Amino acid sequence: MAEIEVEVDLALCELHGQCIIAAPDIFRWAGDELSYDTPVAAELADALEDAVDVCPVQAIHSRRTQ
Amino acid sequence: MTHRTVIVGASVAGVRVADGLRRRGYRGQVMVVGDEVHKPYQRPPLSKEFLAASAPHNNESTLPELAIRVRSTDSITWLLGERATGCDLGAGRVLLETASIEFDALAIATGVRPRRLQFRGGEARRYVLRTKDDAARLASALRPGTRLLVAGAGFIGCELAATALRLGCDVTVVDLNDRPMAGSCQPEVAAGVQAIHESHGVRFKLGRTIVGIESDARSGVAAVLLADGERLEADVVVEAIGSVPNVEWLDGNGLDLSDGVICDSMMRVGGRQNVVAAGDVARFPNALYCGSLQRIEHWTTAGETASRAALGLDLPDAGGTDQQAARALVPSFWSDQYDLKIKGVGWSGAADTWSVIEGDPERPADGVLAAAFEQGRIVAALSVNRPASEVLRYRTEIIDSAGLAAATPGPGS
Repeated sequence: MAEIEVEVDLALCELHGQCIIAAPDIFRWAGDELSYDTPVAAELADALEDAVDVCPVQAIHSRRTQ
Repeated sequence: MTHRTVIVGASVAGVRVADGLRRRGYRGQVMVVGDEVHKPYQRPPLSKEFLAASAPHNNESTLPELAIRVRSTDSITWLLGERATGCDLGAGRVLLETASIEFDALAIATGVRPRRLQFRGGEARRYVLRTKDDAARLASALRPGTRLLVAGAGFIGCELAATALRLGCDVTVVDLNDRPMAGSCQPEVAAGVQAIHESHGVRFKLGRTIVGIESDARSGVAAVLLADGERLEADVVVEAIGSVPNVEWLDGNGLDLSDGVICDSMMRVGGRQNVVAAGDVARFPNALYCGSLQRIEHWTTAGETASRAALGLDLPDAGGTDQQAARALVPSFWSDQYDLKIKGVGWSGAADTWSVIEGDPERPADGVLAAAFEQGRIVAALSVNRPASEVLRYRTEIIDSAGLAAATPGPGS
């Protein structure tokens, strides 16, 4: 099954939470920190792309594994 | 002939329109025209870490990377360093300084430029802060002991004050409102933030009008003149008094350009299916606020309106999804000043009540939250140093409360 690796550069992350709004199936709050799934199914590619674009500090990277 | 979409404006909105077009499967030519020579870059750091790192005596910080990652970059024809001077929407033509380009579809994303004080005088000492070049020029003038006068106590003016203060400058901020960030910050919270600035040594001259600028013939040092007769000497004067939409190039097309470019709910312009606008220049009906026309200069809004605009264009052989269009467009912004993390959601322009609901506005560093209401409906929230997840919960409340409002018949709904 095609999958996508997700990585958030936590040194850049400023906890704006825009990724959580754009892709709640991938990103969520864990207390007051950010938590996310990796890898994610290819069906979530659009939502992940939204999240990558909406991050004000461009902290999110994705890479197809298959 | 290959279908061509021309996007005028190469910042966040422009490039996100380009990405959105390719995401729809658009196979035509995408041409992005930008008046700056730089490849697309982020503006928020220009008043903060980029300015600080660019100051000549600051050897500690490395310059932050500003470049915007553009997914579709390889399939874009880039025309940078070219300014649009005119446009004929009917003929499908954009005029640049050196050429004219024909388009089948057009996206207007020319943003805004800084509003200027309308006086002559002291030009060599006057600065603005919108572009990377502005930031570099300003940074080179900020040294320990530099007397900086910031005209405008909005978010940019306040961020600039904080950055300059940390560079060792002597900072005075002038504004005609009686508190900083008057447009978008709950009054008590604004007063609390002002007090933090003042505790660091920033001076505020509020409720004051600038009536002129002079410069000493010999030294070139500038003096800003206030309506009450006060004269403030400064080595550097930054005009941070707001923005003017870049719409002059659209004159002659029968558009209402009185405050940006008016669009419909899919960002379409002038009733045309092949022209859209996005970003700071776009004035669109916000369904979240009963369809009131809003022109929002927040970073997140640029991307959101761009995604919507990319779907709004009528294009051959390109599908689309209604997902983006259906999503509520909630204005959201942030501002970092000293160790204060300010976050805002919603729009408080029509609020009748703005109340502090958590924390103490006199101690914003310890966390304070305020909410704005319009006839009992929550319309905006603003937090300083509160838990990260909290403002997003208020965002959801604002969306939910609009759902209730929309169900009630009323004018404009």
